[in-house]
Amino acid sequence: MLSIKKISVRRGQWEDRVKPLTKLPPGLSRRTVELISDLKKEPLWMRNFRLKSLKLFQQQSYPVWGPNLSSLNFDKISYYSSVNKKTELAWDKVSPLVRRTFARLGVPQREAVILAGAGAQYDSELVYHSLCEELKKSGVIFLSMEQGLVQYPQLVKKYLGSVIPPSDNKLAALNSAVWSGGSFIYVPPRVRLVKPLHAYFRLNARNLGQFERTLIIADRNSEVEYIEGCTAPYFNVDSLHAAVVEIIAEPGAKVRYTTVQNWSTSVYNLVTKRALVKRNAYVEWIDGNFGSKVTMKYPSVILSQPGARGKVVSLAVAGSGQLIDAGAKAIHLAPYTSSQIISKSIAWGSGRTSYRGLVKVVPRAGHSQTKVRCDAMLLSATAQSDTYPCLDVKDQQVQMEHEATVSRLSDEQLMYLQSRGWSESDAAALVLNSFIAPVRQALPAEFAIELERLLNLEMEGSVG
Amino acid sequence: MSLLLVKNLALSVKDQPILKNVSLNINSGEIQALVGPNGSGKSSLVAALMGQPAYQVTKGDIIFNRKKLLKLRPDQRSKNGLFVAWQSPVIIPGLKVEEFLLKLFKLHGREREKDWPLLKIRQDVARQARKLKSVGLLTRDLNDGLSGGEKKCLEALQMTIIRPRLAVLDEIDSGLDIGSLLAVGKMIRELNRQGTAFLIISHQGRLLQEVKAQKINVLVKGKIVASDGPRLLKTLNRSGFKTWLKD
Amino acid sequence: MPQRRERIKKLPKLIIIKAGQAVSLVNFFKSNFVFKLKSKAVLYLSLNNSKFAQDLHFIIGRQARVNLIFNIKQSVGLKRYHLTADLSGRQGQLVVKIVHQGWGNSETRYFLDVNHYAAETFARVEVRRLLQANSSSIFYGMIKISKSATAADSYLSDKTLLLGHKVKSLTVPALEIKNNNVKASHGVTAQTLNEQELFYLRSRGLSRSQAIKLIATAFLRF
Repeated sequence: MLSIKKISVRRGQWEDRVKPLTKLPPGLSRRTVELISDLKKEPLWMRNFRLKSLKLFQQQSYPVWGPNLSSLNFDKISYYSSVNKKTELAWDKVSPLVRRTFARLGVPQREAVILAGAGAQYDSELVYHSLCEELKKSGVIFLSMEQGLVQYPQLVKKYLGSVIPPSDNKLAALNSAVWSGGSFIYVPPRVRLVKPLHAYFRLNARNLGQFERTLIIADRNSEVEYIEGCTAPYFNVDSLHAAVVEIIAEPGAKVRYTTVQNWSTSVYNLVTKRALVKRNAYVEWIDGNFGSKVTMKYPSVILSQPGARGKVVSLAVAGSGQLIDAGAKAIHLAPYTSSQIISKSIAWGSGRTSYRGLVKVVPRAGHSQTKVRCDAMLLSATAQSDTYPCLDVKDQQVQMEHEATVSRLSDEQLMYLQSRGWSESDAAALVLNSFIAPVRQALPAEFAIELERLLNLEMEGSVG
Repeated sequence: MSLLLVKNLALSVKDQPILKNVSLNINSGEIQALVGPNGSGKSSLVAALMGQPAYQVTKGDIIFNRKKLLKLRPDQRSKNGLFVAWQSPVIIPGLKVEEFLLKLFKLHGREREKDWPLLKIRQDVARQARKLKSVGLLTRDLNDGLSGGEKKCLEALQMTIIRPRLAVLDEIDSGLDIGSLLAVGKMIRELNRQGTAFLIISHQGRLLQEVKAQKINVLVKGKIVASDGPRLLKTLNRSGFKTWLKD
Repeated sequence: MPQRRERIKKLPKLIIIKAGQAVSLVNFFKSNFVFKLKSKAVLYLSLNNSKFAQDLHFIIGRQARVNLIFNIKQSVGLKRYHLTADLSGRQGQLVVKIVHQGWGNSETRYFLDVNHYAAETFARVEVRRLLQANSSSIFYGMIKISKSATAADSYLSDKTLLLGHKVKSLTVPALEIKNNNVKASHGVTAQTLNEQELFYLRSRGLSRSQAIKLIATAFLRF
């Protein structure tokens, strides 16, 4: 008999002693939205965009499917808190306490070695942002969303909300009303970024809502990789992370967006991520979910023109007190498109993982292929796993495949490895690491190593 | 010197007795065989040697390499030099064969070999795989989608990497074509020359002849009924297990 | 806002199959029945034409078995089949085979709920749908394994062969698993004709339409 004591996954769970400069009291009203717009000194069109979105948020209701969000009290959340006056371009200009937080999380060090550019957001504002010189010269734009709005209004106006309009769902409307921070990225035609751009999000203030808004525009035949990491300390009141990420991949472009989310178990993580993939373009979502109290996240690819391809690789690890409802959506709107979804989930303790997916092929989107593989591993008697796929095919010339399994660490596998010299807990770790192999392979190298380290099992073996 | 001493072993599964009174003695460097009709308890003995929890030892003892084997956990038994090639090897999806073999090398390799650079270890692994015509298997997932014969070749391959004191092979010849069978036989003789003792469980005599097994043990209905030299093989080839089943 | 029309539910009729009994119902096209199988009872229920059986509920007792074979051919209209199976007795078994052929503008909706409540229960559901012309078909298959259903074994397979230009196939196979000592999986495919298979058959002398007919027949026979 094998029982798992704990999986140590938590990182960055300590609370910083950084005092906010500006923090709005909890509650959401027209006044709150106006204040946020004022603080950011935004143009009128953005202010109106926010106010219209607020109305939509108040009118819309929660989705009828999915986790129960009724215990999330929007009036107890503070919608803005910042610790800095402006975004710095060098780490030594950033306030020491804040800098220390990010240093503890390894951000500046990583940037020095392997990144093309990095942004660090602390609560509601970006404290640091930089992009390497040669990329700036080739026309690559990597700014905070606020800076992008001011410096490139035509671009932002053209693309913001084009993939995820405020009317899309309640949380998208909320984000559109109170968004703050997030990245604005534009890659000019034929520019290929060899090193990734990195953004780090830290939710430190109590009962704060973080609503970053990211917009990535990859122009024709460009290539860009973006990595996002998130942590927050544990509080006994809820915080909310409702982000919106829009990606537009113009013909021939390649975009890869990697998220490693490790929010503490007091965070509601409700994210809308969608990519519009045009002719012969390719978008890949790599999604690692380790933290949060409730996560609802379904990275989507809209394959809108022939030759468009999309891939979603998702990993969810849920322990006691956690519900990770994740999945993917692949919408085939044009012929000769292909999509692939790989979802691996591990539930232990009383954790619960759900896969919710949609594969849709509309009429005249023929000669298309789609493959879905979702595997769930239940490591304890109280863990739960749900799978809710929806496969909607309306054209004849299609190859659609979907497979889902639920399993556990089998005694035979553990016995076999022990007969080869592995201890019981090492054997379990090996089987689990093999289980998530497709995700590990899709992650950038240093994250893959990190992943193996994060999944650190302690087992209690007792004679059954 | 006695490497494996099984003394009057009695074994049950879910309170059903499987082995009644089994005694075996294998000295270092010997090649012995264990034969018997289906259901006689051969695979149960193998499982008990490695400590599979479903099998309860109700009487007797096992001394391996001068240690009380029954007091050791399965991984400790493996690290002490006991190897079992399973009859139905398990599937571990996502674990590439080559990756697995490299890890085995690290776990069991001798001190000087542990310092070998990764490339040298990979070449060594590939060389052994070539002998068994299993190079194509290196990139597959462990036992996932492999035929019975391919799985057996993989078990044999692991044996050459681990180089145990005693290798217990549970029907390694089933599912092998004649080419692979001869290659496995050759591998067994080579390992034996380097010091590995063998207990080969088999139905058929071909492999046992190939490796020139020194002693044949016959297990019928949970008891060892005969234990003799290679001539016993001739008797078995002629009349099977009839002589002992009659009682 | 449009009103949702509620299906008026009459009280279902109850059929109890006694312990150890085996009952075979061929071409059973009545609706709104609850079949309660006592210990070791066996029920074979087959449906072989276009009339339909709606709202069938099976309560499967200890070591009892239900074997459902549906052979549906539909060319017009909208038909719904609701099947629920509660595996409430230890070692109860459910085997379902649905072979569906759709033509014309027909629309068929299958709703299947398999609930494992007891230990060592077994369920195998295999669905094959051949859709031609403008036909469409929806399959909702939910497998629920409750906390008490240790060592349950449940598998669902749904394969659709798309043979018409305007066919529509929707599959929603769902799993809700609350016990980790189980085997549960499902597989769904929806495909058009395999060109290589077609080519192979044609290289053996069959015309295109003969080859298609052969592939379709093989697909439905499993």
